[in-house]
Amino acid sequence: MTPVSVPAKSRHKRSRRPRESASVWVILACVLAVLVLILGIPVIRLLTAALGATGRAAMAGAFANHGETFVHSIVLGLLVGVCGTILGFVCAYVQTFVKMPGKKVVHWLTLLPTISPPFAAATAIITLFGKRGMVTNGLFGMEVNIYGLPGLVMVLTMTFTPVAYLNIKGMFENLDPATFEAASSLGASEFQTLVKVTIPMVLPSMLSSFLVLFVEGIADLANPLVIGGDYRVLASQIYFAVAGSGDVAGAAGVALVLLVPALTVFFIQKYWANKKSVVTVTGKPTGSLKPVGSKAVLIPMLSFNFLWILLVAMVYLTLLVGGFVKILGVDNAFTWDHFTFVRSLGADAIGTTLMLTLIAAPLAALLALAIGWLVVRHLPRFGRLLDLWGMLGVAIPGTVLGLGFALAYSSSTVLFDYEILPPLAGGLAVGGGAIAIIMVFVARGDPTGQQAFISALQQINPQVEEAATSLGASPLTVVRKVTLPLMSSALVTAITYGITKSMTTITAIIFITTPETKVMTSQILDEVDAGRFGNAFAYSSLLIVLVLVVLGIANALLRQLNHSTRSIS
Amino acid sequence: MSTKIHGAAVVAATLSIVTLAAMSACGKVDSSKKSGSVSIACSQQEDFCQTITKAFAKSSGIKTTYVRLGAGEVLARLATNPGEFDVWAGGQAENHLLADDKDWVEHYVPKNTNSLQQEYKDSKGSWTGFYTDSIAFCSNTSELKKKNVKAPTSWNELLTSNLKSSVAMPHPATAGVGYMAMYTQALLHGGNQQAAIDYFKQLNGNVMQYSKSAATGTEQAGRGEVTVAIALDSDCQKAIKAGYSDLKTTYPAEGTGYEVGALSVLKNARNKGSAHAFADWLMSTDAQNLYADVPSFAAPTNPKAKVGKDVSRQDKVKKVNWDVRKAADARDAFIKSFENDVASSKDAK
Repeated sequence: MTPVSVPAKSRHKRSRRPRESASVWVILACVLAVLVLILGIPVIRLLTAALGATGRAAMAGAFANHGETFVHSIVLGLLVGVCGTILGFVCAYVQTFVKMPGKKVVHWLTLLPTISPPFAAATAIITLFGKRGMVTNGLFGMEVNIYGLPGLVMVLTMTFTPVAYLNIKGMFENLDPATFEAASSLGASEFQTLVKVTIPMVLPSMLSSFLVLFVEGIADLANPLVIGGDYRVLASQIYFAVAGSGDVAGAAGVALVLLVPALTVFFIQKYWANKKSVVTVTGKPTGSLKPVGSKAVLIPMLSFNFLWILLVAMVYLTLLVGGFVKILGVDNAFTWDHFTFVRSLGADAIGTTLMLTLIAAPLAALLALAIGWLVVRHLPRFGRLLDLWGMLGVAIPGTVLGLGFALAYSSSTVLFDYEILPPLAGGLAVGGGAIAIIMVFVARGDPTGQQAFISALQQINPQVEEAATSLGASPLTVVRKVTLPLMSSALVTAITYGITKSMTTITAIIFITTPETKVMTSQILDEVDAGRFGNAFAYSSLLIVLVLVVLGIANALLRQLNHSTRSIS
Repeated sequence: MSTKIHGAAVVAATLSIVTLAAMSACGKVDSSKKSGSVSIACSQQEDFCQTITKAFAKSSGIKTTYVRLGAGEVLARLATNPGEFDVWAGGQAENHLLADDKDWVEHYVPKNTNSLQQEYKDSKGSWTGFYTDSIAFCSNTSELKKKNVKAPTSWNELLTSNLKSSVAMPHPATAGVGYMAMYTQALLHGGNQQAAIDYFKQLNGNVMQYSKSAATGTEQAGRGEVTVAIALDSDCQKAIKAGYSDLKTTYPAEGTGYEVGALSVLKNARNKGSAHAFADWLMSTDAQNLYADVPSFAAPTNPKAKVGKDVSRQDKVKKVNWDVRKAADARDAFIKSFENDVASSKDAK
C-alpha cells in the first residue's frame, strides 16, 4: 500500500460525510421498498383480516381447552430450538476443532436435511421408526408410537439443525486463534476452554440459531400434518381453517396468536445477544486453530455427532432406496415406476423451480447483507426495526404469509386511485404468478442470512472498517473489500439458505402456485398426501440431487471469496 | 487486488440475475390468455388429473393446464383469486353446490348427460357428477389378527377398545371423505347432528391422526401404522393394487355415505368455449372409458362406460339416503363443531 499523502487525505475529509450518508440512504430506501412489498402489504392485509370480527373470534378459539394448542406449539418450538442448537453446536465444533478423516463427507451429510422438503424426511422416519418401522419393529420388534411430539421434534430438529450448524460454524471460523492459545498457556484444559472460552464466544450465534429454530418449530405445518398424531399445534389449525373452510380471516386471527411468542423470543434474544457480544476479529487471521485432542471433549462430541450423522444417513438412504422399490418395507421389488411417474409429473416444475431459485437466492442474500450492514454499522436504533421486519419472513407461518400474498397481490395494488402494481399472484398475474413466488422465496430466505450477517458483523471490530473509511473508501467499497471477505462464511450461510429455502419451501406457496408456475415441493406434498411414498421418495431424491448441484456450484464460486476459513482440513 | 476482481464479479453476477428476473417475468406474460386453452382446478388424485388433461389436450388440440387442489382449497382459492380457473373437476358435489351458492359457478349442462341417473346431476347444471364411490373400512388383515378384531362391518365396531390409536380418519375440514363420514353418521341417526358429534367424540380415542387427505389413511393401514382406515373404497382398491396386499375393504351394514365426484364450469371463465368443450368431453363415453385404464378405481357415472375390473361395485353397497343440498348446507357448522368439540377433546382418551 502506498502511503496516503496529506493533501489527498484532507480532500477526502471534506467530502466524506455527505457521500457516505447518500449511499446509506439509497440502500435504506431500496431495502425499505423491498420490505414493504414482501413483508409490508401482505402483512397489513392479513392484520386487517385478523382484526375483523371473524379473526378475533378465531383468536379466542385458539385458546380453547385451556390453551392446549397454544402450549403445544410453544413446547414444540422450545424443544426444537434447544435440540437443534445443541446439535448444531456439536457438529460445528467437530468440523472446526477436530482433526479426522472424511470431514467433508460429514459436513455435507449434516447439511443434507435442509435440502429436502421436511415432510419427505417425516415419511422416511415413519418408514424407519413408526409402529411398523423397519428399525423399531423390524429390527427390534418394538411397537413405538412415533406420531405426535416425539416424531415432530425428531423431524423438525433434523430439518433445522443445519441452520444452527452453518450459523455457529460461521462464527467459529471468525474466532481469533490467539484466544485459545492464551487459554491454553494460562493452563486451561481443553474442556475448560470449551466451557469458558468457546461456548461464550459463539453464544450470540447460538442464541440467534435458537430463535430461528424456535420460530421454524412453531410455524411448521407440513410435518404436524404428516406425523403430528393427536398433538395439535396452532400452525395446523391455521391450515385446516384455510384449506378446509376457506376461512382466511380466522386463520389470520390464529396466526396473530402464533406471532406473539415468536416476537417475544426475538426480543429476548436481541437483548441477550447484544449484552454478550464478544468482539474477536481484529483483521486478517493470525495463525490457525489448533485441533482439540482431549478425550474428555472428543469422546462425547464425536459420539454425539456420529449418532446424528447415522440418523441422517439412514433417513436419506431410505429416501434414496424408497424411490427404487415398490413399497419400502412392504414390497421391496425393484421398479422404475416412481421415477417414470416423476418424469412425466415434474417435467415443467423442475425447470421452473430451478429458475425461481436462481433468481430468488441471490436477491435474498443481498437483502440480508443490506439489512445486516445497516443494522450493525449505520442505524443502530432504527436498524432494530429493520431487523425485526426482515425476521417476519420466518416468524410468520408460511401458509399465512402465502395467504397474505394471495390476498394482497391477486388484484392490482392501488394507491390513491393509481394502479402502482399489476396483479402479481395467481394464474391471472403477470408472469403467471412467478413474481409473487419469487417474492415469497426472498422473504423466507432472507432471515437466516440476515441473522448470520448480523452475528458476523458484530464480531468484526468496527475499527477495521473505520481504518478503510479514513483511508477514503466509500461505505460500499468498505463492505465489498473489507467486511464481506471477513464474513464470507456468513455469505455462504445466506446463499445456501436462500437456495435451499427456495427449493424446499412448501407451506408459503401452497396458495399461490398456479397452473403456469408449478413448483416441485407442492407436487411432492401431493404425493405424500396421496400416500404414494414411493413417488415422494423418488421426487425428493431428485430434488436433493438438484439442490446439491446448485449448492456445489454456488459454494465453489463463493470459496474464491473466502479468505478467512481457518478450519482444519 | 484479487479481492477487487471478485467484488466486481459478485456485483456483475447480481445485476445480471436481477435483469434475468425482470426478463423472465416479462417473457411469461400472456402465455395463458389465448382462447385455445383451458385452466382446470383438479380435485382428484395426481395421476388421474394428469391422464385426463393430457387426453383432453390430445383429442381437442386445446392447451390444458391444471393445479391439483383439495376441494376445500379450491373453495378458498375461488374466494381469493376469482377468474383463475375455468373448470373445476373432482370433489364432492356438495362443494360445487357451495361454490354455486357464492355465485362462482356458471350453470352449464354438458352434452352426453341425458342417460345419467338423477342423483348424479343437478338439473340446473350447477354441477354434473362424473365418478362415484363410497366410504368403506379399509383394514389391514394381519394387524386385525394381532389385535384380535374382525374386519369391521358396522360403525360401532370401530369403537372397540382393542383399536385404541389404530384408526385413521381424514380431517373433515380438508378431506371430503371426513365430512362424508360425519354427515353419514347424522343421517344414520335420523339427521341428528349432535348424535354424530357424540359418535366421533367416542371414536376420537381410537383415532391415531386426522389426516389432511383421504388417501393417507389407506397408506397408513397398508403399512400397519393403523389397523383400520375410514376411506373411500376406490382409494383402498388403489392401495391394494399398489402392493399393499394385506388390505381388505368392508362396508358398514347399517349403510354408508357415497360421493358424487362433480364437475362445474366456473363463472367469468376466460376460456368459456374451451371450458364447455372440456365438460362435454369429460362426460363422453370415450373419456369415461379412460377410468378403467388410469386406473382411478372410482366408478364412472356414464352407464355406457366400461368399469375397470378392480372397481368396487357401487350397486352392491348399502348406502344412506344422501342429499347433496342438505349436506352442503350443514357443512360449515358441522365442521366447526368437529374442530371445537371432537378433535380437541380429551374426554374420550
